[in-house]
Amino acid sequence: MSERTKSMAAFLTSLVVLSGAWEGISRAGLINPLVLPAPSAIAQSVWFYITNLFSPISYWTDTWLTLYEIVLGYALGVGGALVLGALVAEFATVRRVVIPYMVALNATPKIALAPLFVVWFGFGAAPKVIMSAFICFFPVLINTITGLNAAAEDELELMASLRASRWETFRRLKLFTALPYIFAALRTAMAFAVVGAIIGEFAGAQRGLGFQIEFSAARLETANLFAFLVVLSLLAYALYTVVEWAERRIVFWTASQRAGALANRM
Amino acid sequence: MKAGQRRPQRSSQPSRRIGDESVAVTVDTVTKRFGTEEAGGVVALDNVSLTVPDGQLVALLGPSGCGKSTLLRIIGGLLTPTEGTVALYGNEVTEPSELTGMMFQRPVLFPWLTALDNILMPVKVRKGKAADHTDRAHDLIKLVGLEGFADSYPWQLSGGMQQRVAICRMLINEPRVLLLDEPFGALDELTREFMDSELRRVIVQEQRSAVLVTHNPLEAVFVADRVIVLTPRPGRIGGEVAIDLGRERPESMFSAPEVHRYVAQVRELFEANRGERHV
Repeated sequence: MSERTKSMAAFLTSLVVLSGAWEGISRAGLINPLVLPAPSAIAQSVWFYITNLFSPISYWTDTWLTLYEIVLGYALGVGGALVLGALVAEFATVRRVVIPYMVALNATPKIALAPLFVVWFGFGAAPKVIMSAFICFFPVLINTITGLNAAAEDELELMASLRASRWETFRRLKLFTALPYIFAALRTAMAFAVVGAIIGEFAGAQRGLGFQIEFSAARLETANLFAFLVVLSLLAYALYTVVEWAERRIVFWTASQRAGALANRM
Repeated sequence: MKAGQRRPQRSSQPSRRIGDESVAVTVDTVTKRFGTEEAGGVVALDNVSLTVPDGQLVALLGPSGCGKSTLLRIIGGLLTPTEGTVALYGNEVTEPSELTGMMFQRPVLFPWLTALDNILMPVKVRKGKAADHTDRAHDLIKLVGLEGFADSYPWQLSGGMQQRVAICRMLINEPRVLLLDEPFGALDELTREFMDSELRRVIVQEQRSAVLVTHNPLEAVFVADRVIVLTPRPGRIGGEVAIDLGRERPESMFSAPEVHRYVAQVRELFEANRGERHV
């Protein structure tokens, strides 16, 4: 058996055993289902979600809205961080002006700003998009700056000896040196973007998966709450996989990519 | 200090014409000080003068910290001398020149490019059409014995093979003076000796001039037509030995008695100039 098959078998076995035990405990009435519903109840709720995706209840509207907030927020946050990171790394003046503000902003607990964004941007998608962008901005900014400064001395000397202009050095050396750092942050940022959108919805929303989670909690529909958590987790996992796939395609030369490291399968 | 800050900026000013136009490298009374004397600065090179005639291979031999790499970087235009001048074929060096090609202790290949693309990288930096140089690149690959590896990535090649790719990359823009900073220092002894003989063969065949920095007397004698010994801290010229071993030097010459006579001679010069030991 290959290592992969063994891992899969071990995982599936433990999953069956654990959820079986959980189901048993629930059925025996040992736990109040309002606190922790049985796996079968959660599965029923997930099924309800699936069958009502395009019914008048239209869970699709919630799912699409949250996905939209996450992806747009991610794109804006990541895009802004890449541009600003490149400017900070290349221009000392930009660095001197920008860095103090970035340190201060990064130190504020970003989630605490969610109500402020509602005040500023209302109850639509905008405050969620901005919250999401705001949270995923910082890891990408920091890694972009670090990565763009990571070229080795002899690599820079090589480019200088070839009379490379600043732009040529940037696009042929520094950018590629930075890519592994940037992608590490892009993965983190993907998870952060989901958190940002959900926090944004918690602060005030009429639709969305975050809204549905809060709504279910308020009505003590715990099985539904779990079902939305499952949907949201699958969505987040799918998005993370896309970033990882792009990383494997683009950053193919690092030791970890070449070795097909364990991290790629997690 | 940040790497970029100490490099001379590229300028469009024509460089001064000094020295002899037929001489590949003219180093004229060069002194290099890092930092100011009050701040405990270091004098890396003290009043160094030397010339490399066209087509000659010169080795700069000295212990680590003698300023030989600094001198090489001054010739390459990566560092500016505190005093004195350097000229290539009569043109003062104020910035990296198209006349020079460099090799470093590491191969410094980009892992995201294939061997062929690494070799063509200097062409692209110069805004040249890579397609026009592909034939030349393949000739160079053949010259260093890397046929069949053009599309391999650096991390698929051994250390010696990587340095061969670096040799090709150095030669693609047709530099007339090769500046070699301990290029095989990171290789094992046997591979290094083989690479030394290959390097000598390629440079002679391509009719280039070269300055090789090394701390290995055997390598210096085997590769160079002339070995210049530098003294440590501050770097001064301690003397030189002309190596009359012919143009072609097969790898088998490494064990030849005349090679070892020269090595003994170079060592003697080296010992005489070492002064007190600071180990």
